[in-house]
Amino acid sequence: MIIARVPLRLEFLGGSTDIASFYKRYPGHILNTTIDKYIYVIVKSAPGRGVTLVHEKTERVSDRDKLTHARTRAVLTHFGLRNGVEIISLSDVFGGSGLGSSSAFVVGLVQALAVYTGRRMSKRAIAELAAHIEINVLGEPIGKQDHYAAAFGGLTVTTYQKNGFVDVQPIRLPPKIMEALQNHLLLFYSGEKRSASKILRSQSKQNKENFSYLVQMSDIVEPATKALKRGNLKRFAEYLFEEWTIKKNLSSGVTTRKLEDMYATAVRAGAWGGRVSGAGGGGFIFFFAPPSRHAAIRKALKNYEEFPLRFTEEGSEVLYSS
Amino acid sequence: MEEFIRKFGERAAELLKRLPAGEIAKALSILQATYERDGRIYVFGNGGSWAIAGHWVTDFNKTVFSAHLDEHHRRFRISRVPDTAEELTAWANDIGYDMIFAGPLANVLEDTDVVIAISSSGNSSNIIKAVEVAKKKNVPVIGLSGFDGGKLNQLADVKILVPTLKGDYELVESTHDTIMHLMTVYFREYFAHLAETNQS
Amino acid sequence: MIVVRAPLRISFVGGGTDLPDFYRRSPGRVISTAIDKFVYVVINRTPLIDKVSARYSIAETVNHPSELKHTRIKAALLDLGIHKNIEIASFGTLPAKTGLGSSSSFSVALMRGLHGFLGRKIDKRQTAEAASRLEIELVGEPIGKQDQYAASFGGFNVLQFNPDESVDVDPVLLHYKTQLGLEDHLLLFFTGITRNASEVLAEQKTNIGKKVDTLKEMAESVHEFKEKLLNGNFRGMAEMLHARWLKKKTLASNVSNSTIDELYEAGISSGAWGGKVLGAGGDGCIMFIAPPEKKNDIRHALKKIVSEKKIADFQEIPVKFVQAGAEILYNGDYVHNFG
Repeated sequence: MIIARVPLRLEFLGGSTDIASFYKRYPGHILNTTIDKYIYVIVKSAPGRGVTLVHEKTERVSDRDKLTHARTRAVLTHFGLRNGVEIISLSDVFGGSGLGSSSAFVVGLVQALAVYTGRRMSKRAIAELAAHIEINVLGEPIGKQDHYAAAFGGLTVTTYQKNGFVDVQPIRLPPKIMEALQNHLLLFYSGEKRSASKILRSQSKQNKENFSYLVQMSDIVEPATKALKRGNLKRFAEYLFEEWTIKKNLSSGVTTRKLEDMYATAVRAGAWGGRVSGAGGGGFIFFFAPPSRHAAIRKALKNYEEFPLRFTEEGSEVLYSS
Repeated sequence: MEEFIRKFGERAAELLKRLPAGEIAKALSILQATYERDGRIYVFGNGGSWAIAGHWVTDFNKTVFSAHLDEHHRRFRISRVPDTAEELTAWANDIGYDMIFAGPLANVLEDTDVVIAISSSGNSSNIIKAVEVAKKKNVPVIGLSGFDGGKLNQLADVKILVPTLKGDYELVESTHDTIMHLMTVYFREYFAHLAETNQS
Repeated sequence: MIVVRAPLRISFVGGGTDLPDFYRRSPGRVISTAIDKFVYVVINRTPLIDKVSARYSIAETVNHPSELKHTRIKAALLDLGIHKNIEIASFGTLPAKTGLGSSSSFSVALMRGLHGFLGRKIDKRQTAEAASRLEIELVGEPIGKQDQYAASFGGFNVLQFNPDESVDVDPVLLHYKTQLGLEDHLLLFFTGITRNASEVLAEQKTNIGKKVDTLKEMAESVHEFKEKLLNGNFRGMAEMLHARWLKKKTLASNVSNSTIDELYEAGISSGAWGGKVLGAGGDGCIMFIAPPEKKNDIRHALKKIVSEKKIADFQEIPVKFVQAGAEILYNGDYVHNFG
């Protein structure tokens, strides 16, 4: 039995610039961090039996090709496993929360099956394979940031080069700034589930018009990261606001009336800036604000559930193997 | 002189004749269970018992699988705590002598582990402190004691008591050493048998 | 996240004497062993999800445990006051209803895990008691306590069920040669014929008054079986089982049905010294103790019957005995991981 644990991630800046149609023309940049919320993937051999997948629903089939869960089917196919295996996935969050959970699942499954089949894979190889399966095999209109975040872990700037290479730059903040960054963060659940694929698909259709927006979003990452390293959290939050304003132009699905209301309410109550994590359309929304204003923001957004979280260093790992 | 030698030998032989077989069998079963769940085994004791712990760890780690190194994927995972004299003196000097085992043990002990505590009197406070760390976690404690067993024999889940008069450290320690050797031999033969019959 | 596993068991002698209708009159006694087939329970704290999820043969997500279909998870969560932010998954090495005690192994793993989730360390006995209470008192299943103790303690044990509800656990500590020798002489088959153990037990319960003498004799014979086991007298053990099998047929009308009879007879006539049907009867697994050189003959004889009767799920289950009982394999639950 093998247990893999994969961290989810909070996206700060540059989401959508990790998609091939963009980075083939202009380098994409994304700033994100992994958080202490996880997906777990457990893989167990079940000799003489078919495939069991215990996920949001339970599937028991005689052959992997009969699985309705496309991601699991595709990963099993890659590893040449047809039957005799049981896969259980547990998750700290709902799917569609904007924390990259569906790609985290694929990363966890790839890592667990690599151990299961006795292969050694680097973090990069795991991220690339998971991305390849989702994007090329399954045709998901997504980028690679979630796979890289899940596999590498930590606060990073990833650069998506023309040739497809992804450069991973860990951002090492002094402990005081790291602590301040966490102290200034407030995260709320909007209550709206959304499908990243749907939003991203509608974006890619209009990609010609969107190109210049994406260029601006990609370009913001560098100065924003500098502000962050200096500990200028107010300036950093303003970059988030700026980027979010640009991002909303990408498609009508990125924001909703509810998200707009939440954003405006938080700013009125003292937030410097914030953003919806992930592709938008719902899920988690977070703000940076001086701790002295947190009580006022919480009160203003009291209809929404707040979730505390911590940033983490560790990427996907095998917790147990026997 | 020869009379002294013969008498000592007789006393030692008497203790060996009356080894607590039931409790030793329990200890072997617990070690087997720990191996099955891939847990760790931690051993400790003071002075001569510290030497017994080290001797056992050395023998066990080197001997049990050595005849068939390639056949066994999983091994026993055994260590003496603390690992080094540096760590021992650091705990003794900075925290307190009664924490030399409990401190290092609390750093590493997990639910799947087992602890072997060796104390002739069964009353050394640093041993009892460490046993309490294990008890709090519900980790099984195999206690090797002498004299009347002391607190260790009361607290331990497996009570391997070598009953002697108070102060007979040498006889107790020799017997403890024999018991530890017995465990090594049992598992060496067991795992050799598994390897030779292709069951490992 | 917490991962717990509990072993399944093979019960040799004394099944049925662990029911209160019997042991309240006269101490019940069972000899059994844990085997290397497990039920796993995984428990995850989900602070961001205000719900209760249970994932087993189906997946359930509900707002409150009282809405769960899974009776044991439901009863356990309600009893422990866990009402939200939890996800529980369960899976096993073997399918359910094999007569190897898997449903109690599940309860044992669940209770060990849920207490861990609440930051409590409970020992083997407390775990067995908690699982027995869950199944018998909270869910009201008409079953005994042998499986909960076997799964929680692991290894070979003689379990004694006393009229005052206490249970004595007497481990049978075997030299590895005896243990491996018994493995060599043992054959276990999943018959693929399943039925609900509660049904058979409910029936046995109604008959219990008339059967007290038989059960008393069974509880007594556990001592003799243990002696034979300690001496590595596998043939003697098997012959006791064979005699027992003949008697057990009188215990409840459908403890043995005709296909099982046929399989059993085929095993014996192919050279097995003895054997038994595992579980409450009429279902699940069939076990033989036989000279190792006869094992292939027995396999062939049974397979022949099975293919004639077209029993699709029939399979041999290779068995090793384990010392390990119910155990937390991994505990990464950060909230209660300190102190």
